[in-house]
Amino acid sequence: MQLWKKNFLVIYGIFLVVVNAGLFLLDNYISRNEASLWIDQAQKSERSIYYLAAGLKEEEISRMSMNLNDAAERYEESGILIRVRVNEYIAADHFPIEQTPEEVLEGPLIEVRRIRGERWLVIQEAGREGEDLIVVEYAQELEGLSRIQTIRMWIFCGAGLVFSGIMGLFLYYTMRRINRPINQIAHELRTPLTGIRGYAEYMMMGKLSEEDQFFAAGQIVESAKHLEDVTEKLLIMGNVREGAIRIERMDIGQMFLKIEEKYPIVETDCGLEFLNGDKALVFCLLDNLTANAVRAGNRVRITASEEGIRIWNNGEPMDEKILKDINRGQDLSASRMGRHGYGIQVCREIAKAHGWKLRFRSSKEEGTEVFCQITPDIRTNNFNV
Amino acid sequence: MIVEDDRRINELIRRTLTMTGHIGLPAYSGREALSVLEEKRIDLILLDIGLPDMDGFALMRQIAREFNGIPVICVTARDEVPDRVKGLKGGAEDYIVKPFAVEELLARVQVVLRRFHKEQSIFHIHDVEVDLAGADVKKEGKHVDLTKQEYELLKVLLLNKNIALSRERLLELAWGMDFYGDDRTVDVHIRRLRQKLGLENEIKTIFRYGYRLELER
Repeated sequence: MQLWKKNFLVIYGIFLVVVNAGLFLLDNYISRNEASLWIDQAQKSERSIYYLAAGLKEEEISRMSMNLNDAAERYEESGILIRVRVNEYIAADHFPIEQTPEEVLEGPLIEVRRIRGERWLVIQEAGREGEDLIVVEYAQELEGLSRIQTIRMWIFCGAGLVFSGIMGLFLYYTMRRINRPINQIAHELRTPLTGIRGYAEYMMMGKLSEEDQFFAAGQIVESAKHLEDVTEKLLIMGNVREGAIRIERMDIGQMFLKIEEKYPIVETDCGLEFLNGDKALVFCLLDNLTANAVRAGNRVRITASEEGIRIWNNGEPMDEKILKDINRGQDLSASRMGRHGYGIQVCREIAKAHGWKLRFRSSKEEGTEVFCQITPDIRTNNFNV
Repeated sequence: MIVEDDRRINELIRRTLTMTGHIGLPAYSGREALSVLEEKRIDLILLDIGLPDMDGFALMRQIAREFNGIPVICVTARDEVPDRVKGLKGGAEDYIVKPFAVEELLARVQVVLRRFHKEQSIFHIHDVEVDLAGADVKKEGKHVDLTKQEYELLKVLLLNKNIALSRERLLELAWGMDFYGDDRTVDVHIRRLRQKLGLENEIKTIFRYGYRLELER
């Protein structure tokens, strides 16, 4: 497994643990607070019944019983069942459990009990008011609270999964995007390295004629040059990406002359006197595009005008899919573009840094043309530095 | 056949194979490879995966379909496990990642050729005849008694003919990885081989490195 995938799995694993543990703790905290509030309210309700019973104990038994039963009925409507006992007399009994414990501890006893298959919060309180013993038994159904907490737990689980999924995908694609250029660099460096190592071993191991030795040494030099070229392009790309460009006034005609000297088959037509940009980078862009054109065809023409710079060659047309991907601005892997992938990518980075655009057109009839569209703010003949 | 779009690498592989007595035919694209296959009898294909005109894996499938029985070794810069798996599952006999050591390339080529019984088994060095299949060595038509190690060393030199092998490498190839011998072990065996077979001029000493069996290509 690739290192970045391992890193992704470790990071994602930690992320999953942190997110889900966080959500679990949050749910737990909310539920505890909620239950505590709920018990407080139940205790308050139970105390009010106790005080009611204590206030009525002096009255006639039938009147006391009637008042307490009224209260019990009202409580029952809101899901609370009570039983009140004054000494041996049961004044109201809506409690779901029939038998009352013989001895009830003074002070409230709070517990959760399963009654008829459902969970109830049960509070029992006994207290002495003078000579009289008042016992209040209070039961409130817990299913409502339990249901709310279960629903919330599932919502938290779902949210955790969705969030983890989205973050996981984001993390995966980000890490892959970061890793891909590293892979491409490694891939790009391997070809010249193979040449250097291979020809060096060939020279070392084989019995070679002077001519063969010269050939192998030449190949090593060429491979080293290729390596140098790749590293230079990578450095340029790194600098351009970091924004290290120096805009200055450039003599575009001079640049075209240099290109003509380097590639004698190139015809140039410069309709632009000056251009503003990073001299070294713009030359690198022109050089790369011209080198590709020279490799592709036997007739190459470069023209510069107010709209931009065109580099045309009469070579074989580019593959349609690659052409589409280049114009879409997609990353071009070395495996798809051969040795030219980096060159085009460097050109694109340089153009982007200047605010320019690269457009590729290719057909069998018209040949291949790269158009570098220059933005008006940077294209000027009377730019003052 | 060497199917590799980078001409420099293609030529390197071709020259290396030629050095050991093989004939390498270059092809720089998938289409070119297919046309060579139509015209020539090919024993082994060394295939780069990143070709300009078609995917190497697709080409491998097409070769397996249309030219069944030709072994393929992938030689590529792609070193990721999925690529290796794809290559080997796609029918490649071996997978070599660039940059490779020349010796390694040759060793793998030999292994595949041996597996497909396409390896040369009889060698002639002047009046000496070595039959690798029958493990027999003759000089002037008469059987020569060689010890097991002397024979193994001769075999290694023959299979890597025209290639200089270091003493360490010879120990590794002829004696095996587990053998703890020193350089003098190789020197002693080489001396005996030279004496027994009269190969004083053919087995060359490479100063401070090792030995090379030099044969005409």
